[in-house]
Amino acid sequence: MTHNIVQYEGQLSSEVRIQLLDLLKVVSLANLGQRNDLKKLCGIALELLDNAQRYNSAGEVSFEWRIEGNDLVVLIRNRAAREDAERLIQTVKDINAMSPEQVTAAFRAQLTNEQFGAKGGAGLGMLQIAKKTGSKLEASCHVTEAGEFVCTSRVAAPLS
Amino acid sequence: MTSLILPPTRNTPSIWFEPQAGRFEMTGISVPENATEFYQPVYDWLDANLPHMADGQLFRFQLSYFNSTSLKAIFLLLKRIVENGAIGPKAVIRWCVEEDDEFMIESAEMYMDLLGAQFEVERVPVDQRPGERMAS
Repeated sequence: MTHNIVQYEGQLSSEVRIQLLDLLKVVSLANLGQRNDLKKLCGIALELLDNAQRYNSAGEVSFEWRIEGNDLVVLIRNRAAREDAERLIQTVKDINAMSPEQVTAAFRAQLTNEQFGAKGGAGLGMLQIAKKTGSKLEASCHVTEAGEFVCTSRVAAPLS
Repeated sequence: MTSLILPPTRNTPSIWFEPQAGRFEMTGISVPENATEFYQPVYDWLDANLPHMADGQLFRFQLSYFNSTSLKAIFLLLKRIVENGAIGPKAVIRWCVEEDDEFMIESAEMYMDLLGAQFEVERVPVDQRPGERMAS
C-alpha cells in the first residue's frame, strides 16, 4: 500500500524548507502516530532538502515523502552543477559500499575534521541518513537536452 | 567581557552568553543553510572570552532540532569549551533533551564520546520545550 503524504514542486528557499518540516511533523504524527524516532524520520527529509537547497543550480525542486508498505520513502530531485552531480553519485556509491561500522567510522571522521565545503556543507548528510536508517541510498543523474544535470536522491527507511 | 546575545530566527537558535549574569545558553532549532556563517561569531566570542572566564560556569544547551551541518558546527563549539579547560571545575555543559527525543539523546552521547567529556544530561518534560513546533 502506498500513501502519498507530502509532495512539493517549486522553489526551495530556507522558509519553504522550514514550512515543509513543520508540515512533515504534523502529517507524520497523524499517519505514523507518536513515536520516539519521529525526528529521525523527519531528519531524512531535512538532510535531503538541505542538499537540494545547497546544490540546486536553477529552477524548481521536486520533493516526495510517502509510505510504501513498511518503508518511509523520501525522494528529492533538483538541478545541479556537473561537479556537484558527480560528487553526489560518487558519495552514494562510496557509502553504499560501506559496512555499518565503516559508515559510523566515516561519519565520526567527517564530523571531527573541522572542514566545511565551499557551499557550507559539512559532508555529513548522506552519512547521517545511512547511519540512522541502515538503508541503502539511491542517487541517479541524467542530463537534459539543454545540458542540465538533474539529480534524484531516494531513501527508503524501514518503519520498525 | 562583552556579552553575545543573538535572538532566535526560524533557522537559528537563540544565543545568550552574558558573563556578568553568569548566563550561557543556546536554545531553539539550528537548521541554517550555512552553519559556519551563523556560528563563526560564536566561535570568535568563545575564543576571546573563554580564557578569562571565572570557574564553575554553566553552559546550557536546549536544542529542539539541528541538521547535520549544525551537528558539526555545534561539535566545534563544544570542542572549544572543552579544550579551553572550561569543563569540570571550570565549567559544566548541561544538555537538555525532551524525554522522548532519541535524536538529541544520541547526539549528546556521541558528543561526549568524541570529546571525552561528561555532560549533565537533563531530561525535560515535552511541554517545556522551547517551542511546540519542531521547526519554530
